Amino acid sequence: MPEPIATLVEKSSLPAGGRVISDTLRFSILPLRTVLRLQLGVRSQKSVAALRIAGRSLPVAMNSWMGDDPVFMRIAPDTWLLESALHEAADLVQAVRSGCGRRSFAVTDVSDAFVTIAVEGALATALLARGCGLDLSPGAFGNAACARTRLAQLPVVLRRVTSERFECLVDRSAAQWLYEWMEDAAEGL
Amino acid sequence: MSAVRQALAHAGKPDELLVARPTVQEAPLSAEVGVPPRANGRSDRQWLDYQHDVTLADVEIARQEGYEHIEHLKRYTTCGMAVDQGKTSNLNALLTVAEMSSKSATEVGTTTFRPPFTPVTLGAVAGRQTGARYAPQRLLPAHAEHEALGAQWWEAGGWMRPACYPKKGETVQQAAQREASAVRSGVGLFDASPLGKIEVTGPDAAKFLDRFYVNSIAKLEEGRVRYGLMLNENGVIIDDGTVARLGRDHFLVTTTSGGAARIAAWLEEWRQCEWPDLEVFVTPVTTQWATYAIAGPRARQLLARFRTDIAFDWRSMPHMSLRQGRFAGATARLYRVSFSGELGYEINVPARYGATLWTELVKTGADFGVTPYGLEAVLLLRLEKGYLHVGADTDGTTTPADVGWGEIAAKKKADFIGKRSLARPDNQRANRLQLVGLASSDAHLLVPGAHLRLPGTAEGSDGWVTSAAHSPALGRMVALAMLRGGRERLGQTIFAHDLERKGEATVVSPAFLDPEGKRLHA
Repeated sequence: MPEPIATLVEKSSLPAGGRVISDTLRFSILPLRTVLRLQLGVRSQKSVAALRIAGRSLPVAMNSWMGDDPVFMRIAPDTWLLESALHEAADLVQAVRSGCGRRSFAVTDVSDAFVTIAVEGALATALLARGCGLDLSPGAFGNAACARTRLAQLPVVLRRVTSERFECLVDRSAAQWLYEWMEDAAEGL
Repeated sequence: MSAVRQALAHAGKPDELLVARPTVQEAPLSAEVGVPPRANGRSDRQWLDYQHDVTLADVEIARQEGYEHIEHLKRYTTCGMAVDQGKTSNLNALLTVAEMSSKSATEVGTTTFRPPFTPVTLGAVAGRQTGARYAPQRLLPAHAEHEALGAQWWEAGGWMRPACYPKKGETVQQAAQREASAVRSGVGLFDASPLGKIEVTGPDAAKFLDRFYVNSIAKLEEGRVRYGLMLNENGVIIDDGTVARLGRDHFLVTTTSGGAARIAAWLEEWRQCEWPDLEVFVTPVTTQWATYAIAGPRARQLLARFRTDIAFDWRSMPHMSLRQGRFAGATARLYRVSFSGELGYEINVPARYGATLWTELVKTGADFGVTPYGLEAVLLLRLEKGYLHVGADTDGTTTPADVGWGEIAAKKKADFIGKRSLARPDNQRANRLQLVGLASSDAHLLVPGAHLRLPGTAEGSDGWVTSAAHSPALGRMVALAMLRGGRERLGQTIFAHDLERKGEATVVSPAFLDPEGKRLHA
């Protein structure tokens, strides 16, 4: 009888290292991050300004984000995404539970359901505009903006990190397809 | 490739088409643009708009009723409002109005032009949605591993899924027969990752879910799993799947793979719009988990090759149960469920471990013949058991009673979506189409879509075959069908018609194999 299999290793078939199209456009699939989905009940939403998770405030305005790590994004009236490259999911879940206390809430680890694709450069907006209906001009979608929207027919959460950097959370199963769409859409830019 | 896809593929790149886009002369309208069409003396036979059937008489009536402005006339007569947006009619109308009002065409003016008055190429409409980018393609966590095993791919609900893993020289049908037989005699592995998964949490989660299912969910014990049917307001089956209770206020719903997004939206709509008073949260987690079905009499032997803290022996983990723990070092949810009729488990691990778990399962089970199986074999195995395939065996009229769930639905005291509609007289007719099994000595007669006729019926259809295949376990054709008043006809002979073929079939119970369920309770 062989030794039982004790450890599975993480494996991704997604392209690593990213793609540099030009000095003005590059995109890359980022290493897997912790992503939590936090939902608050109706009454809890009203007191969100007073809520602290790991000592940090949550964004109150719809479609806005704040924080460096974890990043908090409000993507729906009752839903926030927490994204982190530094924190383990279990630790962050515990921080959410402590912060929410007796509030009505649900927190779910969805780290494996999402892949983050970063799009950078002066032409980042032009690339995204080829598949996204949002007005991504800085006046309409500034550096504090995020939104659940559609990109290349896919549901995504798009976040403007800086004037020339966006991060796009896409379902893991469709990440390869979106990456290839970006390669195609970059032609002629 | 569909006709649309072919057309778009031939359309080429949008940028190329933009170069070739026709240019349109947009010269200012002059009084010398032409004369209104006058073919004969009858104004009711003189068409101005060939698409919307607007005649000169219609314009005359519009003017009589005071619709003199060209914009008013357009709305009254609908002239220029067809799909060509007036390309072939606007000029006819405005010249006619000019003539009637003794004005120049410039004075009459034009209506607002909307696309596609100016020609738009198909390529511009398609944008980048051509070729491989026509529609998003979803890949399994172990896509490359399936490819390495020689998977023949099926596109199902946007996912690329293995239909089967043909060996050299095998057809798809032969591969499916071999794979299904291996499940019955040994152990098979199936990638069920696209199976819809939705977490439902909150103090009202049980009450919330109870309102969706035909059978009771609220009384489900922790660690247990229940199969259920979901209906729309008309009492029609829209999905099926399981509900597992992970904790007092924590449930995990599974849906059909194709219904994952639709059912999540359905739950969310009722939560937000109809029952905002309930304290409940709905979270889709389909792609968070890689899911592998391990089915067959030797399923436990394969699981035993992995280090885990989950007790999965038959006493600790009965059929229709779920346990959480660690499996080969990863967080895991292990179901004991079966869509094959065999002893079956479904192991769920975070998707990042999906590829290596698949590889390890194949490698570790090699010495006792573990067999990867695809969708073709899955559908064959469930057909032998008479398990329902929503969307194949059901359509937009099928109620629980039609598939043998009438008593369960009638017994449930609590209300659920669609319950009221089940009491409609038409839903209680005895001669509704009902799910039955069919047997025939003619191996080619029972094909999906073949129509059925009862003895003495000379025309029309009394039902049709919904699923059919050769059963490797039974060595003959098996079929499911929707037959008028079917359950009252067990043992009767009916007639099946497929194109020019006609033959006899016997109405039997849909459960062809192991109707007592001994194999899955092993």
